[in-house]
Amino acid sequence: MGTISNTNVGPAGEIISKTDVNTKFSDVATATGTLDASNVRSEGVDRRTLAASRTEPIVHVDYTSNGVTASTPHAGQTGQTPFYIADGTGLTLTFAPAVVLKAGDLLRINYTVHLYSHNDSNYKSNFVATDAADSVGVIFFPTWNIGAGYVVLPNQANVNQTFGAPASITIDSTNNRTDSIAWASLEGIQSGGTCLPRNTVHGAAYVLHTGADVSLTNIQINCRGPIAYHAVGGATALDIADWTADPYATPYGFNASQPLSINLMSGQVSAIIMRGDS
Amino acid sequence: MPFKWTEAQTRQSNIVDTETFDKAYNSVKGVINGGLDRENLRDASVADAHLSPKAFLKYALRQDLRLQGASALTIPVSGGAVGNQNYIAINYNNYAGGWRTNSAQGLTSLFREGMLHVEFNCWYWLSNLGIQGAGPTFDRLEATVEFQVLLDGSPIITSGKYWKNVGQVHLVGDFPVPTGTHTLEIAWRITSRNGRPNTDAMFYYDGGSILAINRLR
Repeated sequence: MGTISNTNVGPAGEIISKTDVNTKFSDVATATGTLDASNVRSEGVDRRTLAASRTEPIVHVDYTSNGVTASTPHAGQTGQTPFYIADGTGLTLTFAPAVVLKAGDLLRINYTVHLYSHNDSNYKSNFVATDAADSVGVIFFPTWNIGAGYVVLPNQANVNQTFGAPASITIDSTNNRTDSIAWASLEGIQSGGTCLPRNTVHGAAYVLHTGADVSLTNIQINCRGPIAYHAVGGATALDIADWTADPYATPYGFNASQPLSINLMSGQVSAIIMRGDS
Repeated sequence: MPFKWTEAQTRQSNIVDTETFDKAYNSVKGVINGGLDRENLRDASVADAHLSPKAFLKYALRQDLRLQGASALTIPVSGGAVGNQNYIAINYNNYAGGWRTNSAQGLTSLFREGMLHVEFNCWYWLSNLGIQGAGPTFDRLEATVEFQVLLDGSPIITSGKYWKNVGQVHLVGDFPVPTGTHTLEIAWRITSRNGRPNTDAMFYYDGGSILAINRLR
């Protein structure tokens, strides 16, 4: 903050010296050279003071739609391997040049995916426990590339890894979170040889970046399923079940001979990177 | 605009006394030390380079929201060799109905007067089926779940009813707020006892995030 010395050259009636004048002009020069926000009164800047070219404190905005208008099957799904939703033009955001995330930046990812149908025409979520719904569905999740290939977002459970069934992905509230994933139910209407969930899922992931700068080059939206929420070993987990074994082998249509075919339609993904107070 | 002192005019060849100089000097002091405002700044003179990133908004994020009070529970599986389905969830021994607030995981922050943009996102599992499938079904109600976002204890967003077994909740709203410390919380409710055994696992949510973007006035 620039402040001019409050001392005048007085006393009144004396002839001012050259030194006094120079000192005071130096005071003014020093003060005006260090003006900053503290020199501006609270709410002292008005709309008219702001340049027309002013932009919001947004570092980057990007959006894409895969343009898919007809369902695209992803056959052979057992939940053991995640897959990138490459339908149409794909669900990838590419930042060229890379966007640098600084400590305190907020990355907001929003995505939607439409689960149109699957091939288990008789699917009911209560087939296993006859009067209670099991927790089977498919999940969608973002991955990002900050220089080491596509990985899940910070502190997220590693849903992007391949597992052999049966297996489970432990989830917790520290570094195995599920903040970024979005669930879609397989429940739907039977139609011919398919089941129609027709379920558009809106997922969101927020990253308040900490630590050193990172260069973000890509964001992708992926899918994984069938998968279930269960307790495994007394802890919350995403369960990659062996669908060929009890209790699933008989009731569900997706088993060893007929893995689930997930038919997806349109998808969108957007990213907003903001820089501000947090 | 700060107070401007009356400015005296020095004249060529005049001897400048201290009083005359101080009058001019005080005028400059008044402007600089008194604080600049819109009257001192040229129109359209403040551009991106001059603006602090904190000038227009503040954001706050709370993640890791999950059901509080959940415990290890089961749902019996009839037939098959595996046994019960295991969940970390809540049952009707611990929930009798009505809204339940997750006060343990609120988002509290100092917000300034302006608009507050709020987003809530989570996934849930609901043991929802009471009316389909085999077994003693028709004496039970379909279970549903609803979510609310609370601002200082008052609901500001209420979701519709979700009834599928798993799903995603995404709620968004914008609200005016006064300057002060405010708390955002999540509340939920499911269908009250619907004929299911009290010991059955009924409901769980996880992966919750509350994002608040405070756009300053």
